[in-house]
Amino acid sequence: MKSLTMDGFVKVLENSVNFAFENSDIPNKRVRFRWVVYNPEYALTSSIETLLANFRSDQNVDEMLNTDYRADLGLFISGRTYSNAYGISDIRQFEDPGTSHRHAVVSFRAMLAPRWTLAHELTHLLGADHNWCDNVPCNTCFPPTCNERNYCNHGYRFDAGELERKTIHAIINSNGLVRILHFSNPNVDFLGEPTGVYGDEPAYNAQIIRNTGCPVSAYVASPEVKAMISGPPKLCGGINGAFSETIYYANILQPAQGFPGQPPYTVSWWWNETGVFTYQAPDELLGTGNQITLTDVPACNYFTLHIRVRSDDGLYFTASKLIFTGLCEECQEERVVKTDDLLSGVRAIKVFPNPTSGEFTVEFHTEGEPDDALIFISSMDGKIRYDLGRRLISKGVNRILLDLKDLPNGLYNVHFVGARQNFTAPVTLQKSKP
Amino acid sequence: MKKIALLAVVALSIICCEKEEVWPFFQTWKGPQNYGQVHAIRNGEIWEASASGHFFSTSDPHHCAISFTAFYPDSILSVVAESFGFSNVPVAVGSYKIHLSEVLSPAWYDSLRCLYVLKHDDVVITEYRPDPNVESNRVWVDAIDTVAGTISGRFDVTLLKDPDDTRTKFPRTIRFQNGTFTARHWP
Repeated sequence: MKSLTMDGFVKVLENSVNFAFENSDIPNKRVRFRWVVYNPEYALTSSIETLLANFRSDQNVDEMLNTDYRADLGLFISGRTYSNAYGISDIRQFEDPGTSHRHAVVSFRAMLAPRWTLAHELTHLLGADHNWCDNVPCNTCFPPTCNERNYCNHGYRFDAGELERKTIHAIINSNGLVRILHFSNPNVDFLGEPTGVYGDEPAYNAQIIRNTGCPVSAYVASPEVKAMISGPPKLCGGINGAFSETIYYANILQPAQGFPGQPPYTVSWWWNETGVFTYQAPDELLGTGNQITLTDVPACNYFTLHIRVRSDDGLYFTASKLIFTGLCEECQEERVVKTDDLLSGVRAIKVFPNPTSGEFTVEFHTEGEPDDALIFISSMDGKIRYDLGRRLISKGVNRILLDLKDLPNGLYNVHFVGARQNFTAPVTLQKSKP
Repeated sequence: MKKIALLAVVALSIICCEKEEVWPFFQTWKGPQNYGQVHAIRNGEIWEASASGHFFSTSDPHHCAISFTAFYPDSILSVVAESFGFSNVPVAVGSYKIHLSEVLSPAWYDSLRCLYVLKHDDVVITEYRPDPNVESNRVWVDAIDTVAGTISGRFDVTLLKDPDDTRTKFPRTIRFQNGTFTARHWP
């Protein structure tokens, strides 16, 4: 079995935050992690509060952040456990937008699912805050500070799918309760329920992160130029999803003055199904400019959207984004044309147990003739994680046993794509801690 | 002219009479006492919290850390409101002076130090460090039970709020008097 390298593990950590951004409609923000082994004397004996105080005042850390790595924020990942916390962070204040709040500590054992402590602490540094006193639930009002923090930047607790759900900044206790990989956002649903709320006590951390991402990214100018494509990872969505015009944006992180890759930039947009671009095929060129509007579905199932950017000083750099189109109406029609098989009247779809620790059963009833359906499991970013191939679907009750044990905790969609009917069933993977 | 001078004095005296706003400390719950407890007088009022010790560090077996934690009341989630503690405490009966430097430095890392933090769960609201003008800041280790893994002692310490914190209006000085604690090793 191939072991995960430290670089690979850090990439997983990075992705956990970026997936949360994607899930929460924070379209043009990304984090990039660089890691270094750092073992200061104070890390071994300190409480987590003292560790943060030391880390914050450590001049070596300042030098690493400002000079060696040119990093905007510093996270100390501690191998220790602490009696009262999995992490600790400063919090960015509206009235104090300087760089004084740029340090956090995370205990190694709680960085990813089910608590998502790394994303939690990191985005405190972007101003995201816990849920309101009335929504915790507990008596955590501490007037006058509670009332003074009357911004939109709060986590959210709500009920969906017969379970209590908590966004990344909702407070949970120490007994391993889980959070969903979402920042609160009244405009984004989870299992049909909004993940935030407007009103007197708003919960809209996604908005604060959108607002503070740019000023925080300006703490330290990067020496590298980097391009990203922002926009939805899948077109259409749901069953028989209708396509609507979709805009994608080219986001370019400028390097510090004096480094190659200076603006202005010229951006060209390309697409194809292979992901390999030679810039020779004119039918792959979609257009130029800082954004592109897709007016139809370029290809079924998947295609790669690509930008090629030229800086003023002649440097070329690129970015690609894989986009899932498998649920678009146009693509379903294409399948019907190709087959005469029937699978009709799918109903009474049940997924149990849900959440699952690995194995789960999808049960559904069909009234049509036997058919084989394409079954695959995707993560919320639209990537196919398991392709189970074709399975025979009988008339009557069908039960299919599936297993997600090799996947990380999170929300997944199980897709059944038959000739005429298809459906998607959400399932939450919550593996217990080892 | 005399009238104008008089008005100016009155206005000045009204301004001078404005009292600086001071926020009260949080209402807290002392929390579970499974790993120990602490009692003290904080700015003239009784203060209680849970305690735990951190011994047996392989890198430094001769020192330990003692942590005190208080929680927001009526909380089913045990949300931390206050963390207070001493680090680098010698594991030996005796009286020990707390390092007085306000500024964190390499010397501070090696000294017996203390930090008091007002929090909302994992978020730091403000911090207090030992007042460098108070020579009497001390911790006494009175008893060590190596079988039960407990350490008992007393403390008397005056702390100052982080001078960089201009946002909160909690008291600038905290004085803990007659502090007594018993802390068991937290695994």
